[in-house]
Amino acid sequence: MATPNRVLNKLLIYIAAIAVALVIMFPLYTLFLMSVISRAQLFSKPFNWIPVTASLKNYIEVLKPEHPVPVFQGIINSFIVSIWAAALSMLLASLAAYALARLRFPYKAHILTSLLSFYMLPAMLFLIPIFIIMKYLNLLDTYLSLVLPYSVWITPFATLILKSFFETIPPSIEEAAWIDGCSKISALRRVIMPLAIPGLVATFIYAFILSWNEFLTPLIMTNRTVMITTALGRYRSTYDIEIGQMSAAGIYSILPVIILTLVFQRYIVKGIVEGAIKG
Amino acid sequence: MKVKQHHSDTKLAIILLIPAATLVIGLYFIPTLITFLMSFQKRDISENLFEVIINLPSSNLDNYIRSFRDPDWIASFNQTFLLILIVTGLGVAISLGIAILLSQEFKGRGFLRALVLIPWAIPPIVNGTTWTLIYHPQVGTLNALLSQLGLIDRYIIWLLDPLLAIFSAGLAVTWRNIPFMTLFILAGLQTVQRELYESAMVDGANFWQRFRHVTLPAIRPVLLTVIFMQIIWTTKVFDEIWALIKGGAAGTTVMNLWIYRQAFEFLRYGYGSALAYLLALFTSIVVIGYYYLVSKRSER
Repeated sequence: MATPNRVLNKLLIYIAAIAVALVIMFPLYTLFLMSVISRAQLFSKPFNWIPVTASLKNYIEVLKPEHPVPVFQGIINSFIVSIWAAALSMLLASLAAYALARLRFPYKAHILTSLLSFYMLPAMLFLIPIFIIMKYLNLLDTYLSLVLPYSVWITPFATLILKSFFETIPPSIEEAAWIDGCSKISALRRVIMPLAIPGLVATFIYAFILSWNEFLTPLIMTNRTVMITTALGRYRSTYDIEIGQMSAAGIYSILPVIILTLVFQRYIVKGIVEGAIKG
Repeated sequence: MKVKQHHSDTKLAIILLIPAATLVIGLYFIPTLITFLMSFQKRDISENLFEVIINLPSSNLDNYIRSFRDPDWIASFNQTFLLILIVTGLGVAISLGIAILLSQEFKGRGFLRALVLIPWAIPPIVNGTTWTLIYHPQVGTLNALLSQLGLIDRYIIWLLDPLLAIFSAGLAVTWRNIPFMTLFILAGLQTVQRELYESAMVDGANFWQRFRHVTLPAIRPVLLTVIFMQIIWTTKVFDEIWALIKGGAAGTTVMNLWIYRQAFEFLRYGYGSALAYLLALFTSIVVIGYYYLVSKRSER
């Protein structure tokens, strides 16, 4: 337990911590930097890591209605679709999760295993016929053509997260409600669901982030109804004239999810780790 | 009485499961079955669902046979394989390092843990777009950084050479996967018993010896799971590759992207369906291999 050894250890830990922070921040800082600097600074050599002058011009520019890429509309649409998809999957998952956590019924293990297949199989396997079905029903380019597929693969995740949440609620609480004459359904509605609110909120946030980030589905299903992700896909990073605007749009698209992630950090970590342990 | 109790449980369970089951069966299991039927039909089958039924008698294996002679498909398999190697190898090494760091006690650990979570939340398409800026041949920050550090004297066109491009893509995907792998390994590290470390310390083991003989054996199952998840997820990568190809990347068309192009750019739904099933087959082999390894381990 020599003291110099300890100091050296601490020093190594801090050097490693700073290195990790730099690696994580590097892409985000690149995006931020390119959104605030001018074209002249973009090409300046040597490159200035701390901008000489910064401007929010790109941030205002991309939200204008005459901007060639509909960023503003994309943000609005993404909010609407993500809220609907998160609400629908939370509702369906909460019912299914309660059944899987508390009730005894046949084939339960099979249902749980089939939920896991969603982690594994490529999305293309069902996106091709869903596209054909949506086209047949004239639903392409609608919110529904996104809300439904999103909910399909978010619901299994959400079910697993909520199931483990329901399992933390002591069974004695609902048993007391049954003894008081509550039916199982009204005990679920009046006793369990209110207790599960933190879990439901966490699931909603989790589902919202997954929906907000989805790109392949709107790329296939929509054209005029643009999401923030597909809007971003319309920029060309190879044209330097668009780099600043594309970066500003990128920052807009990551702000909501970063804020939600940091605020609900604890739940999300739990969701990531638990969701995967079951996989 | 007990039987009756069980019976009413089943009824309630069915009621609670029906809404989710309807959605999943209607928009997952049935479409997956339709894809299966389509994969045996003309490669450019029309968008009419009824035609899929009408064409059933003329089903054949043409699409599957054709895929073995499709040089782009074979190339995309190789690219996917390379990407898996890069993402898994690089990701596990980096994440193991970060997880070990986060399991130490130091000031600012909570902050660093929150920071490490961020890449998980970034939309993959934004991640891909950001890396096109990092790799940009004239204004990219990677060239700027490396030349200022004196490591390169000429700007490198990162996405031009196919091998360099797939490595660059792998780096972008790895960055987004760091949070999951790190948190998962960290959770595994926290289950390693403190006494084991302490007795190793008493025995005079240094950091490397403790890592090799205590940490690594204890978290081997966790690492196996992480490697498995990385392989599966990398077969599903789409957004980053899409953005990087748009940003000028050569030779990074992975299987998932080639299936997308066949189905939605060339409108060959039949052929695209067959390729999607081949990718699913590849995934299934990985899954079966994983469960085989896990069950063999638990037998011992």
